[in-house]
Amino acid sequence: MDVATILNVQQVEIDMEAQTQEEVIRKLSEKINEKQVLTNKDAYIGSVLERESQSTTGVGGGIAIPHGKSKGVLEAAIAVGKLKTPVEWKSLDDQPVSVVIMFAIPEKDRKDTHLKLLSQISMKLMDDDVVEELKKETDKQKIVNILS
Amino acid sequence: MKRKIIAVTACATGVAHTYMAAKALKKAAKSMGHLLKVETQGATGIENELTEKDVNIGEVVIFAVDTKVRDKERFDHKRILHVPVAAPIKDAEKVISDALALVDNQ
Repeated sequence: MDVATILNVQQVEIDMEAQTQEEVIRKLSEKINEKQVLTNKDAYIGSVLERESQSTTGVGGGIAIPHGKSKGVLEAAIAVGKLKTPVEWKSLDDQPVSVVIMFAIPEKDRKDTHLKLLSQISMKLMDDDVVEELKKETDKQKIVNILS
Repeated sequence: MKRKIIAVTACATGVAHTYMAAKALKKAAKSMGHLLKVETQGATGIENELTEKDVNIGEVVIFAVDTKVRDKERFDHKRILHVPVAAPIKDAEKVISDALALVDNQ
């Protein structure tokens, strides 16, 4: 699987400083925007916040996977932030979040290899070893490798 | 004898929770010593589709979904446990136990 097509080191940030969930989401959307895959960043952020308001994407173990599907997204993309201090995310296990993996998803459903990559990354996050490695690792390239 | 469970997972955007829930159910079933087949209904379509034979063999059905189940009529006359897609991500063993209790206590 070639995760490099949707995630590279430029979209990974270590020691991200943010106080709130919304701040994390805004900062990561900037990272995604650097890839020039967003035609309407605010619409995309809105879709992510809307998704959070329905139910938390804090899946436990200090990990969150905020995601939004929006017309403002041209192509599926992903950004990763490791937070300097954990942030409250109303997680399933009530634990604050320190690793955030955010997906941008285009509006239209289609047979898309990028969407498949996102789903494969999601599955990886159910593996406790992967989660532990992600929390420990501070090298951007190695973080990309863990998710590949 | 191993218990046989079938499941369908689906979420609104169809790229994240659908697959995490599926993985969590498979992992829990394995550690509990049960057989479980899970169909994912995601943004890229239906994968690992439950066949007519699967549906016949399955003792109970788990719908871990936050959206409509596609081709739901396949499961008419089956016992179905309906939970949010986040439920197995939080505690898949509990979801499986609850599903089995549904058929054991009838």
